[in-house]
Amino acid sequence: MAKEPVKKTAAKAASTKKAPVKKPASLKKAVAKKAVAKEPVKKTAAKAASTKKAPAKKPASLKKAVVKKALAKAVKKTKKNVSGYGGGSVDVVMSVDQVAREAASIAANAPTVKELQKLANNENYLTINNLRAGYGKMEILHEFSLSIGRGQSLCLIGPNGAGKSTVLHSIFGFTNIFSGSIIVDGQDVTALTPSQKLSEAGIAYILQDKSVFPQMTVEENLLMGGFLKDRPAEAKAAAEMVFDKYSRLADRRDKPAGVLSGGERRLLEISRALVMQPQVLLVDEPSIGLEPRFIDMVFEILDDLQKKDGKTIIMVEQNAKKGLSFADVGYVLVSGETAIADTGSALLDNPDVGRLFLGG
Amino acid sequence: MSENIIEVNNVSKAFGGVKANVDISMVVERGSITGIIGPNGCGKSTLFNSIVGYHPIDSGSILFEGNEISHLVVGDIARLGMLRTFQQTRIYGEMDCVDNMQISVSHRPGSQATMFASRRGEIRERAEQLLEFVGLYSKRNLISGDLSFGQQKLLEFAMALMNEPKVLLLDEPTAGINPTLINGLIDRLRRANEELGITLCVIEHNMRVIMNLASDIYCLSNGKMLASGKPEDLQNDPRVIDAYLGGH
Amino acid sequence: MTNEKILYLGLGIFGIVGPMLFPNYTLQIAMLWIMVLMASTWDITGGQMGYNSLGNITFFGVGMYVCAAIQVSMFYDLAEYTASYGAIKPVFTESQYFIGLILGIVAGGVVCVGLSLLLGLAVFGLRGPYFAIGTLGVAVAMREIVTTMDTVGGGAGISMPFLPLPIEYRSLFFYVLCFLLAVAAHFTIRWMFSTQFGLAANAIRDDEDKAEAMGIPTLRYKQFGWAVAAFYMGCIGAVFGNMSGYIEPQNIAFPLPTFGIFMVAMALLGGKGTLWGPVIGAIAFHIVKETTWTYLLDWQYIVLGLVLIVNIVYFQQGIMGWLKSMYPEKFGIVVDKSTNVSKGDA
Repeated sequence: MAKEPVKKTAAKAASTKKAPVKKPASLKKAVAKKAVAKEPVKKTAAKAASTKKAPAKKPASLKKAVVKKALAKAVKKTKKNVSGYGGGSVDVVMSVDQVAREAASIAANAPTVKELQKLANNENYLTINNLRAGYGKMEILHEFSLSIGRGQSLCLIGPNGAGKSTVLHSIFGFTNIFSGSIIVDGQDVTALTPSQKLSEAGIAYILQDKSVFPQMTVEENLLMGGFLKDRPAEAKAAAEMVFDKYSRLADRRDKPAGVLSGGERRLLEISRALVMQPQVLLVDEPSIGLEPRFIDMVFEILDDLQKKDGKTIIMVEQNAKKGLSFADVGYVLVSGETAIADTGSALLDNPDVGRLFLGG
Repeated sequence: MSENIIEVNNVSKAFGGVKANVDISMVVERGSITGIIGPNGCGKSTLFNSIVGYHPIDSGSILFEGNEISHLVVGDIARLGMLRTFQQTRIYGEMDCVDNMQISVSHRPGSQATMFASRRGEIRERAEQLLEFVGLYSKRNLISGDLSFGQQKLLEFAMALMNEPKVLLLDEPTAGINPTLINGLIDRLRRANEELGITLCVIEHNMRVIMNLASDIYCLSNGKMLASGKPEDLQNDPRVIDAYLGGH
Repeated sequence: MTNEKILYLGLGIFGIVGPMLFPNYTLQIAMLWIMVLMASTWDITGGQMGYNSLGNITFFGVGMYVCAAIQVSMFYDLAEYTASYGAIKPVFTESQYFIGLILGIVAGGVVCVGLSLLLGLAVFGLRGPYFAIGTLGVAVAMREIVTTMDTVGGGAGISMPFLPLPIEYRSLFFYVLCFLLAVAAHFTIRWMFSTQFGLAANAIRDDEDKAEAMGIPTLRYKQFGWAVAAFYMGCIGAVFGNMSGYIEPQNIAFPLPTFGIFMVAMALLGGKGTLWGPVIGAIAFHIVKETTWTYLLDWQYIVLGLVLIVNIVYFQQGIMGWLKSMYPEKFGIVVDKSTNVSKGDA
């Protein structure tokens, strides 16, 4: 019995140590560990505040589901893993209402602000305090709080319509803020306009959908990223820095952005945001619509930006497993509130999170 | 009754100088779930558009239930029983969900939807049942444009089911959908296929979805057909890995 | 909805009792019903389907001319009559007049239906602003064609047969026709939009390509909607011609810069795409028009223009749209306050 928890923490240490980005390998490891460590999973599950309710009611079925998963994963382990998407089954089927109900019961033990700050190593570089925000008169986020340290990465996951993109929108200034505040490096930025957020507060937003200017060249797109700079020469210099960093873009600098492949397009969108040299990157669904071979590439780019350039990254990612394996911290949003917050790998190992939000 | 409900024979389509589809041939068996994968820009959506009549093809032929359809327009092909969903979800944004569903009823000759059919009767009942099936029953009276992105995708899917098509072409149905809901979607797609007998043809980037859903897969690359076969075979095919999956 | 019943009751009573209470204003109230009909029929293709036509006035004029031609030519030679420039003064017996009138009105409507089907084949391939300009072009062309047709009087027009009723009943007679036509149009539209037709129309407005991709035969619906509008416009044109006593192409039959645009303005003011929007818009517009005519004559068109500008820039949803956003429950619109719906969220 003593061996299992040790193996578990060892695995946890392993997966977090290995820059939570190098993917199929650590993912496979975490998966294998999950399959083996059934008992400690239940133990840690019981420890976690979340699992006081639903799973306690049905330990039998949880075990069955876990066993089934373990078997499926064991079988998959021998097959070649598909990078970008960790393979997996689609057996855990729950209705939207069922998920909402179970998530609501988990949310009853929502993390306190102190716990959130602890996850941010108590650095509080960017904090959101009791934010109530939405679109028009509709309030999407209810007393939402967030805390992230400098150079950390945070991933928001959760059901559709939970308010994940709204968090990013609110930080950047696209929503109606009814109350609460957003503080970046000690400065209150709640009321700034998006342009000010970009030029003064060092926050850049990378959109979810195709947002390149398709008929302009790659270079022109980058120059547009520097539109707010005082002098065009500054924008040009910053664009050259981007080209030095990413030779792939430099090779295509004169091509119209519309002919770029999906991965290159995403690269352009990310690097365009870098022209203003922001400290905080808000990335809305980095891998959406990308084919598997580029998903890893995009996350590698983000990892590089975080580790080498010290950027702080907050992202929304529907490919939740990938997002959580990348990010230091993960928040699970349900209906405009944070239901669970923990380190990325802890959330990946959490069976409730797996069942309710990761597709098993 | 032909075994292949759709037959694409040597179809080519170019836009200006860009050869979007070059000599593509594939078949979709009646009652099956067929997947189409490939890098962005490889011609998947163009192929879909060609099949549903969105634009004419340059050469080749497309057969639906044994009949040539490459000269027909979108509306005619839809009325023959072949529908498609869009990558950027398209619904009727100013109407509420039930109305979106009701107007999606089949307009094939002989259907219930005559021009002045009532909005209260059987059609409405079926609409509400299908909304329940996708989990949108509680939102049925909301204006569809106010739904969230994921909910709109579900609505578009329900609308397609309402039409009772023979074949449904789905363009990236799970993009941007939360993983647990994806499982639910796949479950409903399977049930639509097994219980309602709807043949499915799905473009997807999510390997978990495609490998668990499709019985046959076609992989395109650079406008040409690269490989085809069973999911397990393609997953290990070096050409597919090179062009699309990425190795590690 | 009791609010609606109150509205019907109020308007119905006003319709019946109005001319009795205000006999000097009978024709003005008749004009009100004509405006209501024009705005309501415009909205079938305009607000509900998204095909904003600037040429519905074509049917007004064509119906007018068809009716006049039938009324005269049934008993006299039309070409001779118009060529005489009023020298021939025909006398119609009561039965002759009324038969001619009824046949003329019906024929006016039916001919317009045929015309709309024919024109529809040409213009329904156009979308948005192109459709608007295309229909405007049709109206202008029709006006010019009629001006060249000497048989129907060319630029000089036709002097209409005189209604063989005592003078005091003349206004009332036409008033009743206008009121009945407006009521018939309203209830036809109400019925149409309570069926699948209403759904199809709105689907075409919201996303016509999607509608086509779902197998909806959009051309059929567009044609039917426009045909209904054409029918009633033709009928009311026929009545109006008789009310005026004298018709000619520029100002009476094809008044593009006034009624041609007014019908659009009224529907926008009241709230396009709704059943009551055009009605309320027509009433409001008519009131403004009449009061400025009485008290601010020099400023009338400036005021009307300002109303239009304010409407389009600040008040696009119109009166009905504004009411619906203030009191959504009263219109059966469900606003999701309990659960959380995030716009644009993944």
